[in-house]
Amino acid sequence: MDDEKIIGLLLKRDEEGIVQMQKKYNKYCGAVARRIVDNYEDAEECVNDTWFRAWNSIPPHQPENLAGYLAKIARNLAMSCYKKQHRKKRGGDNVTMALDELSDCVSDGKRVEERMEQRELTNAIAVFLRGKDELKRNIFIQRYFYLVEVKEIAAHFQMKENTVKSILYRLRKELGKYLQKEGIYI
Amino acid sequence: MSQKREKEEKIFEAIGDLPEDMVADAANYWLSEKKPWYIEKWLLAGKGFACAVCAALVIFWVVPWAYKNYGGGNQMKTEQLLSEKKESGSVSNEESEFDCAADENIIGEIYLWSEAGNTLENADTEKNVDRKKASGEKSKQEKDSTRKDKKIKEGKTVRLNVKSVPDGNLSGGNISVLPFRVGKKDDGITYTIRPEILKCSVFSVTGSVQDRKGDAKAVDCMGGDRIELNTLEQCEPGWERNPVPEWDGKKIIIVDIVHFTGEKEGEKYDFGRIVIGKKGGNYYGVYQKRNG
Repeated sequence: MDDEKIIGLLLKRDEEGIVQMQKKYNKYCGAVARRIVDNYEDAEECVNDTWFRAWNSIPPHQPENLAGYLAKIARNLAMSCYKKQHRKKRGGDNVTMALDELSDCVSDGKRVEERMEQRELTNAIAVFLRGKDELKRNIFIQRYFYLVEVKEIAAHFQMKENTVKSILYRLRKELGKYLQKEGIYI
Repeated sequence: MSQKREKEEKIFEAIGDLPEDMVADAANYWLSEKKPWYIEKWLLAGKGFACAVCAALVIFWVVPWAYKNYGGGNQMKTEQLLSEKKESGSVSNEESEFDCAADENIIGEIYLWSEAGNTLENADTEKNVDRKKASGEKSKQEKDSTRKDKKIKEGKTVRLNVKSVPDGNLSGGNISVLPFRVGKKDDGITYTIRPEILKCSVFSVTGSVQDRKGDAKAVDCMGGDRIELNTLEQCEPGWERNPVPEWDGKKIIIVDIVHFTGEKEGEKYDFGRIVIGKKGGNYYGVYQKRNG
């Protein structure tokens, strides 16, 4: 089933939309999550939460690109899971764990200014990447959005690992300069 | 958490919020349906097999075919062609090989021969063969070594052997000659070889009476003598009637016609003629006996 039909079903609150969405994007979202969290079960949980979040957010939201939308949800959920896992590893005491559990009750803690800053930063990165050719853009996104290993990217694009590394290095440097030029100081 | 770490996380989170289309474009290869691995393997194996079949066809069929049809002529090839014909039954064993011990009564036959160094050796060996006929395997081997000469079958086009020999008149130069052998030793016939238009003069005669060298219009020789025809320059095609109709369309240029006659105890024989032609670097000949 194509994305428009799935989105149509979700907008009509038809549960068939979730079934079709799972059928089509289960592997994809699983791959996104598994690259961030090591644990297979946690990754599965992230994927299940992805369907739940998508179900809750559509409507009112109507994504233009369902695959990208789901990937972003899965990535953010996996990142939250990753942070939790690492906090446990670092602290692991009762107080830390209790605080972590309570973090579910509060918002993500970002102030409006911080949210604005992040949006501005995202827009700047997006504009920077759109100015690059497709190959470089895709390499950057695969590495820093999907967290694909350099070796795997090189194999996919039939390039040498060192070439990919040097492309990423140059992009990072150029991005740093671009952000400074745009007046974004992190 | 260090400040640096916080900054890194900020960028990381910002990348996580990149536009959906951009994110999806970068992952198109994940989303596209991949063929199962075994189909890819089979496709790969199929391509490999096809390549192997093509290579085998080229090596075992195209190359031998091209060599056979367009390659240069040599004794080995002539022998191979004859042996193939022999296997297919078009040439009988008796006719294709010269066996002096078996063909006592054959006269006037014309043979192709090669290997200049074998000339005298062959003559000696023939004697040995007669002497040691009954002495088993050894004599059989020696008799095999005499089988260098191939009889020219009437009406069949054969590729002629070409020998490069030093030209006595030109210091250090070589000329190409066509070696033949006429009749059989001690058949009692005096043969006369006469090139018709002198494009193929008789360059040398080696045999029982006296060795002679130098181009000659016509020479007499005895049975079993080896003669070498000087190829000289090829003739412009100016024959009113093509003496070899079967060469029509084969682009074989006629070089000369060499007549073979003989005499024994006052009786005269006409053994026919060999029409000699040339195509590329190869010489061809066809033996034509006189009708009647």
